[in-house]
Amino acid sequence: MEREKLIAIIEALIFASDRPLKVKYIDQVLSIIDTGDVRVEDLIGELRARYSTDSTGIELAEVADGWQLRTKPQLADWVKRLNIVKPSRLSTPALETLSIVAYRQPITHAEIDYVRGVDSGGVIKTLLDRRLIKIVGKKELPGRPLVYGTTQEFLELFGLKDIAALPSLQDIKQISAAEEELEKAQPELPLPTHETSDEE
Amino acid sequence: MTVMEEDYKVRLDVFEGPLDLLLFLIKRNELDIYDIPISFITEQYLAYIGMMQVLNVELASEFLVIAATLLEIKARMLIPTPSEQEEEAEDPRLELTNRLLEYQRFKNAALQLNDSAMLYRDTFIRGMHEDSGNEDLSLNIDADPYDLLVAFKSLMDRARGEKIAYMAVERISVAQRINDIMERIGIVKSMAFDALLPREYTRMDIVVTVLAILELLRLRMLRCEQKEPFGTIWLFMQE
Repeated sequence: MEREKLIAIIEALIFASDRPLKVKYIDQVLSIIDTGDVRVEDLIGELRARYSTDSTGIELAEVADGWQLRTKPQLADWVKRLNIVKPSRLSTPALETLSIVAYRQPITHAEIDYVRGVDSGGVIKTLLDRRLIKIVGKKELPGRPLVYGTTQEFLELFGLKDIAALPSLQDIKQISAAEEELEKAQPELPLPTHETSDEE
Repeated sequence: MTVMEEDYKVRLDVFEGPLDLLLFLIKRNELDIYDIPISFITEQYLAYIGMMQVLNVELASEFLVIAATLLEIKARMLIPTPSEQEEEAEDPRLELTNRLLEYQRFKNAALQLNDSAMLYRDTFIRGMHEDSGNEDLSLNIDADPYDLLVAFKSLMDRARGEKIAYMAVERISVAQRINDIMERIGIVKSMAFDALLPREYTRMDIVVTVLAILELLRLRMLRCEQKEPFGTIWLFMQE
């Protein structure tokens, strides 16, 4: 089958799927025809490039080990004007806890508390309820405490391909150092404001 | 001191915890995190704690734990170091410094996470209904018998229509209820669990309805879905 037609099929499959579509399912669908030696990944790459122009409002994102059509972030304000979506919000403690779980999983409740210096029970419950983290097992420690890890929904929420797609903590350190330099270059901000405290 | 009081008042709810407060104090006073002047920081920290107490703000016990840690470190630093021949003693501040660095790292990671294109904030996917204020069926999650029991309990709690009067109650059998449900759901294909009950219902109505649904689920004639814990349970015709 010609390349153009294959790309059209893949586009239709991704559009019709309500969760990020894995390449293996596309392979499965296409297995009934002879695709020659064309790789699905290459076709997806081509499709993705087509969405990268400014004349389209959606993009093809690699999320949770699959592919999904999503609106472009720079158009978010327009989509919100439709008033049909419940905005997604996470509090600072929730984000902190989530990043600790993401980078240190599998991790126990006590270990999270130690890093944050406060009890995280309520936050953990909220994150469990929102299915952003899950219980992944028990640790071989006295009392066999539960250990937590992130979920598929976590990857989908932050548009991550997989957990390895998180920036390394080392990189983050460099980014924040660079930001600090920028901050210093700017005239001193009146203290205290919420903004400055958030950027510590 | 008055200026400081003003500052602290504004910031009371800003700190996530004692480590956050310490990081703030370090940054604000432009201190070197690798060489914290423990005496100075302890003083500042205790001043904050004192302020909280004056303002009658309930302090998380963790704030006091760190206060104790600071005082302990301070005390240990006052103890003269053993003679130089001996191996150099570990800096008493080391553990706290490491914790602060670790915490700061995750605070930055959280900011980074928050900067990414978040679903339903920066980017959207297809299939949002205009009435998303109501139940959004695009996010179905299979309910298990436990969820059904929870829904059952909440109905039981609401079943207040039981008046004390002895009357010959028309008893509906489970078999009748099954037929009834299948007939109704056969027309509309899907129904909310609550909608299956008459406006005024008794415990018996609920019990019979739940039994009927459990039976239909077992026979795989119905499918049962629930979007979130304690949410509405939806029943679907099983094709």
